[in-house]
Amino acid sequence: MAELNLIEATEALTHVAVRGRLDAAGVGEVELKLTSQTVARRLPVVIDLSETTFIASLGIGMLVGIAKSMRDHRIPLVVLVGRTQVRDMLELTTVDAIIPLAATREEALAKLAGS
Amino acid sequence: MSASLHWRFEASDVVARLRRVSDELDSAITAKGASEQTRFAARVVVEELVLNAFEHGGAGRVTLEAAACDDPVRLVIEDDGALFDPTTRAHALEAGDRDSDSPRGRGLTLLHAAVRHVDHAVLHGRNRVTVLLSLR
Repeated sequence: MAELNLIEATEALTHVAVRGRLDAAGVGEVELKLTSQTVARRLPVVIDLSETTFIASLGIGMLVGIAKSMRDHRIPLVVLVGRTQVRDMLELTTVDAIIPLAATREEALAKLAGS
Repeated sequence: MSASLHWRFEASDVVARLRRVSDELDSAITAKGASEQTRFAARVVVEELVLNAFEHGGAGRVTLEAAACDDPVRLVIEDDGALFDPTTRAHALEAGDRDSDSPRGRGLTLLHAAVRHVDHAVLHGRNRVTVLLSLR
């Protein structure tokens, strides 16, 4: 299963982690809440996939949809993900060309600040 | 795996069943010593091909068979949806599609990246896709 963990929610930043598998069922489990924690808050966002163990096209589509909404509101978003198979999936589908990826929280915050 | 494993999906329960089936297949190939990469690839194959058949092919029923061979693992997915050949790489993601919310092009991109061998045939009007996955 997949679950969300709100790491940080201040007036400046949202850092939310997705734990578990972002398979079809996982997307159904977290999409609404993830959207409310990101797009609805209208603040710079770190979506943390460091504890996400699986992702496929539906999960990637969910991230792209959120990223597009954030972009429409000119609010930066960075995905935090280490050197994992999940990152490989994002790079294979060239999602990293539209959503900045960071390997650490520090890198993610730097990318948000620079965007 | 000591025998072929068979599963059937109906449109009404595919998402919940997909996770259970994926877990069962994972257990079976893990018992055969599958690498982490193969285990991940197997989940990608099952998710992308089964969902694609329902969501884009309009299938009413999809079957998955995992054959009892040591290495490579053979997965056969059959569906009664619209005829579609996933081996045609033209269906895979084009650069201009990366901004799309639609998962179809991405799914095929992931499928082709995950496996070395994908074969498609039409059998009695049904799609039959065969995938080979090296255990290690």
